[in-house]
Amino acid sequence: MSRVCVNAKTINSNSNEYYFEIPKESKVSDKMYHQAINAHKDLWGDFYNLAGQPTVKVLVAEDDWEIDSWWRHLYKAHPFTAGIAKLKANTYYDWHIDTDRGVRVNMLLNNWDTSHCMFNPNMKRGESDYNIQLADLKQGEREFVELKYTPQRYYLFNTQVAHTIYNFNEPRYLLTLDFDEDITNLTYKQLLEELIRERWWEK
Amino acid sequence: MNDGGKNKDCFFEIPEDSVASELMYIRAITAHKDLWQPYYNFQAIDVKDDWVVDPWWKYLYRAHPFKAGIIKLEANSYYDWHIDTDRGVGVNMLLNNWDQSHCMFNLNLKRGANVTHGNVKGEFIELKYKPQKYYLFNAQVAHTVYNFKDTRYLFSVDFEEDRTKLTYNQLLAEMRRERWWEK
Repeated sequence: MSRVCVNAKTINSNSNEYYFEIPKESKVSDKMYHQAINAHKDLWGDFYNLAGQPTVKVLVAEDDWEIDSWWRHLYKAHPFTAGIAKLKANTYYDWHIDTDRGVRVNMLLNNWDTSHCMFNPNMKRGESDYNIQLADLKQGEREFVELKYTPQRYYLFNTQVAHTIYNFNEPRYLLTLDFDEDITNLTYKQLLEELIRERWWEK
Repeated sequence: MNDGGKNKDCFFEIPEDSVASELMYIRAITAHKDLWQPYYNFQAIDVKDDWVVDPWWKYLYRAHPFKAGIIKLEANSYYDWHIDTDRGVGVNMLLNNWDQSHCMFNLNLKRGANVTHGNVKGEFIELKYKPQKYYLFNAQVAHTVYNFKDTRYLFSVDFEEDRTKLTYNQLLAEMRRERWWEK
């Protein structure tokens, strides 16, 4: 990101730096949710971060899953693996900056009002590489911008801004597109510009 | 989480409605801005002698002198995972934002690097504050607060005895025995 200075008092006005809502409703969201809740437990694999810690369970999408038609344009430009990430009830995924991905495309499949996803641009990557330094935050730097997921909506997600998730209810299912290109080859800003230019969802 | 056993390690709901909660809230929202002072990472105002308070406070105060105050947390802000440095136990009552803020405990986070750097992923126990209810609060279990809406106001008791002199379990046992709120 090229942002030089973010004033905590104004971070709410810059939400496009953290996420972008794709202005087209998904037709497959409900089906994806049913794939998730009906999947056999053995199909859920562990997703590990670079420190070797298991973070979330992921169900990788199969070829026979019904998908939204615009995915094929996105896939041609930037190949990805689609999956559904599961977070158990009453659990959180603490503040972090993704280690290897610059951008994702996400769609929340349930728990829209009972889970929270938040960004804080004031937090920076810390000593441990996979996590972030918390101790240096000053008064006024513990503000957040919430991504309030709307049902049937995809969001371009800037994984290089610190983010956290709290889930308060049933298991939370998130469809996520994991691009083959890593952070050095595909950034949020690049893909945002390309999406806005190409408007694949209209094709 | 519906695990009453684990909840009891973190907080205890005092089974008596407050009669002073709404007046406290009005005091908070009408307080002049100069009265708010820094208190750890919050802003706080002291409860004054002329404020209406719940009658059972006098028994609590005689047993364990304290300062009482209201602390505020701005909208869309949070107080990250921490264990209190000095306090072993507090008594809290949330004055607004019962459904728009969340207070959570994590029994597995320990003081030191574990809290400072987070644990990547964890389970939490939520203290779902109810209106007009006080809660004994275990300040030695890692906890965090997220506030999603308007400024959040929390009444909080800060005991003169620090965590080496007064623990959550001590005060919980004493409160259950004495039942000051019934007197």
